[in-house]
Amino acid sequence: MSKVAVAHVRESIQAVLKNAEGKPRKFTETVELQIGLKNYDPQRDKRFSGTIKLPNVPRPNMGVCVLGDAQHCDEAKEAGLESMSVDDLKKLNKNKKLIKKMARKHDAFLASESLIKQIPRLLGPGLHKAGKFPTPVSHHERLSDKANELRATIKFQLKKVLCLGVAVGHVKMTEDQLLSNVMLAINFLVSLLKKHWQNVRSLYLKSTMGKPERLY
Amino acid sequence: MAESTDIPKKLVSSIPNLRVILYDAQRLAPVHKLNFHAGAIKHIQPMTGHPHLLLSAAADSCVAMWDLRTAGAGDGPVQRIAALVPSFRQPRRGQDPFAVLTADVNGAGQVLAAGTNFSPDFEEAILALYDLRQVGQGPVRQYVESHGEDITQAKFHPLQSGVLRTGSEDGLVCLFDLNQECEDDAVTAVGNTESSVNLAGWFGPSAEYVYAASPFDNFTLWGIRDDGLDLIHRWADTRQLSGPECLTDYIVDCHYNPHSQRLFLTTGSNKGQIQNFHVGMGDLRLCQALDGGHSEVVRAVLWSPDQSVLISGGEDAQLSAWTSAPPPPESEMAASTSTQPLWHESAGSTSSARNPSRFRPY
Repeated sequence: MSKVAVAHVRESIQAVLKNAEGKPRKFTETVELQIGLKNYDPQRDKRFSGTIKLPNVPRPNMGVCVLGDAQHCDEAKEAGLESMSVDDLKKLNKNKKLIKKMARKHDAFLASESLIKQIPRLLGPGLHKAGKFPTPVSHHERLSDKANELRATIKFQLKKVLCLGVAVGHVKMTEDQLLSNVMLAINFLVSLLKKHWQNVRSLYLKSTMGKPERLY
Repeated sequence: MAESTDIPKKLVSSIPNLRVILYDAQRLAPVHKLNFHAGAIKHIQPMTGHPHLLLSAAADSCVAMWDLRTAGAGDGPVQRIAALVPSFRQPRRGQDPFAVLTADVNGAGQVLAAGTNFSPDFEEAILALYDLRQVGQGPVRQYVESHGEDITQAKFHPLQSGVLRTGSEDGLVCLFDLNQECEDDAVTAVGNTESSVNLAGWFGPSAEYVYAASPFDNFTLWGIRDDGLDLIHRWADTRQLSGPECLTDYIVDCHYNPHSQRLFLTTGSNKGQIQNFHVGMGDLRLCQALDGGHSEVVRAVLWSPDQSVLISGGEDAQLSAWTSAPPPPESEMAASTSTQPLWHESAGSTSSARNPSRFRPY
């Protein structure tokens, strides 16, 4: 029941990518989806927030750190992820500055299921405010898969204003990868709205420095 | 429209124009209007163990306590807790004050906990604790480190009055031991939903389990152990529960029946259908789908203690009361029963008149 044609989205993605290629920047530009809503009153209607898992990783450079038991630390080394053991965490000694430093150094954390319960005692609430409380990982899952899952998950929030933006990829991604991310994000967000497409005023796609392309 | 309880006799609902309205639960007729708050009302609930006392929290950073026996006299709240932030954090011009999104009083009736939104101006979401005997002296304790987003839920343990559980839009559920002075030591357990938490509660015979839900996607159950929270089950997307008979768009509420020791999850559709699910250790089973009571999103549901009457309130400004046979035993759970609304009454004759902030009808 999609109201935007795939062909049209593809054209817009091509335009965005071409634009970014024409004027290379010193960093990888992010591709962002912007949604304007209508007939929606954030004061009265329910605000919402949540997460989407995209099919293609939009943030490959996100540094994931594993807080693991012995087995997970070994696995992390193999997968090329940074890791910290219980002893490393104990060394922080609940020192707020050290914990903040650790939280700043990494973008996200994974923790072994056996360890995650000890985190509040070991570290206190230091990771909470940064939004970096670790995600549990069991021994049945592969660490690298779980890390990629984290990298592919994006968070969105509708607050007081009638628009919201989500990062769906970057300009180094292929057209098809971007397309599947964009379509998934659009369909997911629209399915959350009370009146679905009747609540959508506009849809734009743009790269960080590029011009916006209207999708809807 | 939010809704709360004082079953069996009274029912409370809050509406967007800053008032709390008291209804007679038998006739669904308004009895009193409670005027006090200057901001949108975010939370109302009865006080644990004192069904005639009502707690309300609002965006004007005030928490008010009402005595429903004298509320009709127009005296206003019996106790008010204003200026939730200490003076050095008073908002300057152009800065929004903290909105109180949730409040609870512990079983002993001594401590009030209030959770606020995340203020970008102060970069903090505050969980404040007050001693109800000395409210004037400001909060006894403030926890600002534990949550990085709006604190949407705060609830004391029903049996242990020193244990508090919070939930926040950053996706974390935290357990606090309030006997600890320092915030670092007070956080005893944390659960991560990997989404956002808009609903959380205790369940189990001695409240040894915790549930948490975000309105659209996931629903998580934990067991409380001495060393933290044990994940029992996590449903990644409750909207996948939709079947031929029901369309599940969002989660409304959860209800734990202490007599049958069962947990029920209430969900709704954008067209106003209400569904009740029985929550098992690893499965959700549809018990009922209630049609015809509402035409828009259902915001709140309320069970009577014996689970014989359900009252629901929706965005169509309707209150509906439903009676149903008690939920069927587990063996018959698969067969869903549909009940007709017993009676329902318009909560407002014209919704636009009572709700001036509502945008043009379409």
